Amino acid sequence: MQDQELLAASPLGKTNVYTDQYDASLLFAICRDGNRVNIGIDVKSLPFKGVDIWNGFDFTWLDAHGEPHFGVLKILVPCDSPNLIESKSLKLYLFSFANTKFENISKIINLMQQDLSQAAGKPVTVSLEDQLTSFANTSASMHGILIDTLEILCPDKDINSKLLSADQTNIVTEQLCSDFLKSNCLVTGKPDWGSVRISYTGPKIDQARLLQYIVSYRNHQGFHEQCIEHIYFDILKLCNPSKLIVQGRYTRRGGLDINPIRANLELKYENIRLFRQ
Amino acid sequence: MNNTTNNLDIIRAYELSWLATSGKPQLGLLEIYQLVDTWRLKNFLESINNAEFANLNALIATLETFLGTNKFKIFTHEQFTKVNFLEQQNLTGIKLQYSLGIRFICKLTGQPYIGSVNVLSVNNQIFTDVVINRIITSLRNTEYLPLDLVDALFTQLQAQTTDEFVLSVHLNRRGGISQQFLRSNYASDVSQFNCRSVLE
Repeated sequence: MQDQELLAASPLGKTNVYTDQYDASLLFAICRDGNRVNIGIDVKSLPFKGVDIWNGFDFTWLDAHGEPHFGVLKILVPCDSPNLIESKSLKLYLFSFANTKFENISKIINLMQQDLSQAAGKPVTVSLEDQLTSFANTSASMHGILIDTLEILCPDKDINSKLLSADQTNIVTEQLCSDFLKSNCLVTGKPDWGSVRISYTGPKIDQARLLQYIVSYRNHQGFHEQCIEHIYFDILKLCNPSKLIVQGRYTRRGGLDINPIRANLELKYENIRLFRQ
Repeated sequence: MNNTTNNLDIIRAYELSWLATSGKPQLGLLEIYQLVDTWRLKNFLESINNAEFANLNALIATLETFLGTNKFKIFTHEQFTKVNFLEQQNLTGIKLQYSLGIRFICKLTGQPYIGSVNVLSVNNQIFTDVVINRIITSLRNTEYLPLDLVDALFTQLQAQTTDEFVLSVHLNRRGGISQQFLRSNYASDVSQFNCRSVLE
């Protein structure tokens, strides 16, 4: 199926019936390769490692006695999985647990890991945490240099990779952050809001031009994971860092926030909730 | 904003963004102290995210056309260093006694609402756990508009105690917009409990 046909078959942008009985068939997978090929990534040899961290704030289920419980889900989808999971379908799937009885939390986690791994095509890790312990601490912005105060020229209408430049004679290690990342949903065209951090060692990136590049996503249509991979790949290609981590943190849609991380090194994944999340 | 009311409805919009005249994006959080149609609000906010404003006052003037005057506050990005949640507040003379999840069905869309119910009071154990759980669970699969749900919940809780209490119902965000409803059964300044909950 072509990408557009596939997306048209997804629940995105459609009015749905909200079932409250567990139903794994609600999950809808989308192949990651199409977008990667479009931006020039060699899908046989990915230039990054990473995960997509999903936090689910609207999760509820029944215990064996029919008593309701609530919790926050953390879902880790590896970036080398063949598919990403379309977020509206995940929302509908998670809602389907609401009036389903489970003997214990382990049963929920095991079932969910099985379903999501099958959809993604690679093992997915799920944890279910108490709301107060997992997300009670927020940070205003990601740690690093916030570049949003820099002056920029009139923003471009769509992604302008040519803006990226780096001083090849000045090798630095730094973390640059912006809360100005915005893109539009690939299907509905509705806005998605996020923050991005670029951690790197390599030729010093021109920060104002980087900011303008990030702002150039403002009217671009793409999934969160695709936008972060695009940023990662453009910086890798055009600025030539030896070490690079690009981390995106988006605001919630359907009770879920998506936080993709792409890097050319092994790393421990942070999951710090930002003030807008 | 009336600071002596027993009732306060607060809408928080986390995705306020507009452009400076240079085309540079600006960010803010919007807090609204009245009920508005959240679907219309969402569409209105979307309509300004690529609009240019000369300054914050120009933005406020545009927001007033939709929200009225003195009914909202904009928190700029710089004002946020940390978010304090209601569940974490150190309040004087009153304590958070109950904090429970809630689910009900939106009467208009059929979509589930998820949120949290917080009850604050001076005295401990103004409801038994069985009673408060039963009341909240009884709403789980019922269809309500948010305001009607809050009124139904408050009425049921009020019938169970003569102790003074404050009810704070928080609905998790939809389309970047969350809602908090504060009700008390005694004359009090509920605006001091204007605060996000952890899940919100």
